[in-house]
Amino acid sequence: MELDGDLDDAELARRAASGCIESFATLATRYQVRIVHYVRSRVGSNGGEADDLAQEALVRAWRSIATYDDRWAFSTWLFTIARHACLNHVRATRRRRVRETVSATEAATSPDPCESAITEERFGRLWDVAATTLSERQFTAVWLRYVEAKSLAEIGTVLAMAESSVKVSLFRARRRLAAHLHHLVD
Amino acid sequence: MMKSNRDRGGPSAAVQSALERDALATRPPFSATFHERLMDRIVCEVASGPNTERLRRKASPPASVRILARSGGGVAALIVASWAVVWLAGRLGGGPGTDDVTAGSAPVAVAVQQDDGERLVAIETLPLYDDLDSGLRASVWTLAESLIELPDWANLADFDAAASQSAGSRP
Repeated sequence: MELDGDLDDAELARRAASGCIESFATLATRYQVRIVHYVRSRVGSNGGEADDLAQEALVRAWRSIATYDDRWAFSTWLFTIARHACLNHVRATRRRRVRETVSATEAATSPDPCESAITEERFGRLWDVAATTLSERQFTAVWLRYVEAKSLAEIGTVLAMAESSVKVSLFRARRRLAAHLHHLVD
Repeated sequence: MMKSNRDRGGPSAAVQSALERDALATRPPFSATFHERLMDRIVCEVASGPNTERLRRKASPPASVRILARSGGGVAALIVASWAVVWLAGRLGGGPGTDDVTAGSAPVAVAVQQDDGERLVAIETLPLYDDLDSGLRASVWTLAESLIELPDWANLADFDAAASQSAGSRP
């Protein structure tokens, strides 16, 4: 009998779509660390919030596994779901914070996030600067490129952008980060 | 993975290497119970009966939803949200200030034939936004925001559209 671990992602996804939980478990095992890593980079790793969000993304993947199109890498599809989960989370958090506090005066006097990223010790690394200075699209593009080694086409699929736009986005992101690099390289 | 076609050079090769190095260096520890909890959730979902979301997504979304998604999500969502709130308020007896809005103007869905032959579902007798009281306006905005905020079907529709488009441009 063929073990799930020997099957490729597409076959596992097909089996999962027909209700095979073990096949989905194998897929989850393959990608969960990468998804958690990405989600933590977007929302922070305090309090287990990111892990819950990563779980939510994987549960969503299970629910909609029947819609997966194996012309594309499973990880690309998974990152698309994770990205949208992060976007929704960030927007919901932002709305909640606006409702709870933040007077206009406080907002006006708050420090430039780029400056904060560089001066605070916890933002000592380039990825932290990236998280605070790049747009969500730029960050995800850079992440998929340099952490996940995704092709431009795959990044374009996740971000719903053309390859040429991905190139521009990566170029601008690198240029922006380069401006901060001398603060960080020692 | 596709490391071969990486676009080296450009303004910041140092940035690239720093990003790669830091990505590895900062990878946080992975919770040993993560996978167990995940699979517990999935087993619970399966045990709780047929997954309506799975069934729903196997079918294509309703034509009206696709048309709305294509023709300007924000405005369409606001119109639908307004209609839904007014309709619900009317059905439930309405809150303060809603009686005048809904009285004698029950919303009616009509089909309009477009030039391209597609039928667009529209809503007649939609009250003007200015006619709504402030409480109802706030509800409309809240509902509209939740609709605009990338619901699941929209995520997947985006993905499918992008995937189809990219696949079409392949050699």
